[in-house]
Amino acid sequence: MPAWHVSPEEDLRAVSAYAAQLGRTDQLPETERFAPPDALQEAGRRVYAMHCARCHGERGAGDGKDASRYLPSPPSFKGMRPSYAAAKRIIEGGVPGTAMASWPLLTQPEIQAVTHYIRSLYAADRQDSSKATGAPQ
Amino acid sequence: MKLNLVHRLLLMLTPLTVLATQGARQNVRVAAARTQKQASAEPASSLPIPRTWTPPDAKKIPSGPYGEAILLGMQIFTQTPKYASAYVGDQLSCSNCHLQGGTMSYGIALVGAPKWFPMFSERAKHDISLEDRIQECITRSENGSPLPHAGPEMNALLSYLDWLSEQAEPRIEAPIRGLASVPALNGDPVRGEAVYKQNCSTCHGEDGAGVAGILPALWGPAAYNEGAGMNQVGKMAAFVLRNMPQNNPGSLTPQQAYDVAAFVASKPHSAYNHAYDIY
Repeated sequence: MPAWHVSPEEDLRAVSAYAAQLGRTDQLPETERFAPPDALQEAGRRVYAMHCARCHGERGAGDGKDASRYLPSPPSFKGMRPSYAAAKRIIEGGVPGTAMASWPLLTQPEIQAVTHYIRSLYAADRQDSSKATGAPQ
Repeated sequence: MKLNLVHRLLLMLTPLTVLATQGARQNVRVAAARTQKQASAEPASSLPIPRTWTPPDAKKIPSGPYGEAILLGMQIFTQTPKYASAYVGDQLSCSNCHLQGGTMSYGIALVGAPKWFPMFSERAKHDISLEDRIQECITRSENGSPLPHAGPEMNALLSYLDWLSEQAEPRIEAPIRGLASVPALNGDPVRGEAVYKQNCSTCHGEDGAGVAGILPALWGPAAYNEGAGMNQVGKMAAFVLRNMPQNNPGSLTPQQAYDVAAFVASKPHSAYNHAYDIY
């Protein structure tokens, strides 16, 4: 690990910009998609309602009806936009020390769809979040 | 003096006792929360999820032509309409019924399947090969036309099933074959509709059409045809009883499983082409 604090200002800015857009570069290439984006979104909405809303909330705000039972609280998806790889790892394996269990019965297409939907809940992405709430485009 | 001393000691100890009691209460609360958390983190099912087998991992597929055939077979198995599009007529994949790539107990597992054939078929009334059995799935559950004999798709599926079965390790019990045993009951489609709306429609949709490529259709043009095993109420009931609803498998009673299967069977399905009875 180099002494980052003595790096040139220019480098620091570049690294910072790169880190800031990491979450956004993880778009699914067409060849890896199990279905077109609209179908992923709709299937994801259904899988989310079935498996996730109880804790993470109907709109992903971390305020599901069971959320108050758990510490740490289930996270809000308004403020995080997990990558497909991270979401898959968490859904398949759970998060030790939290109420996030593993979901061994979810299929790969279902995991991809629900991740697509969860990513659309990210509040900074106005277009996608309006889609998630069913608001007119 | 003595009393005074005891009194003093008691006074000194009191805050400690209070603290200890508070701590114990806190601990009890934390423990209760943990228990609650653990309890709800587990599926609320009365049936344990079989964990004797793990889904196949594409990274373990060997290289070379056999490996390529296995990989194509896995792709066809899990995304049938995409990788065998010329031959299938609906939107279902093999893995919609053969759960977790054909490795899940009571989810019509296929680990070891190559060794089960030739097998006497109740449908055909004679011995059939594994290839014949695959054609039955393609023409019924996939509502399609038969794969070319010895073509790349058939070769790929057979290779995949061979590979799955080679994965069997003596230390790990192979997944339990077929479906769960269920008592013979009569399903009521009217009661079944209520069960469906309560437990199934969130994913499969009120219209039973699912979402192509992700959530399986149960009736209509995207679903299996009338000749499929899943169109038999007893078979679907056995599948449902053990595997559905996916967020709480085992929560339906056998009667509810029969009712919902009767409801789904009462909905329209594509006609089966009896020209394919040769398989």
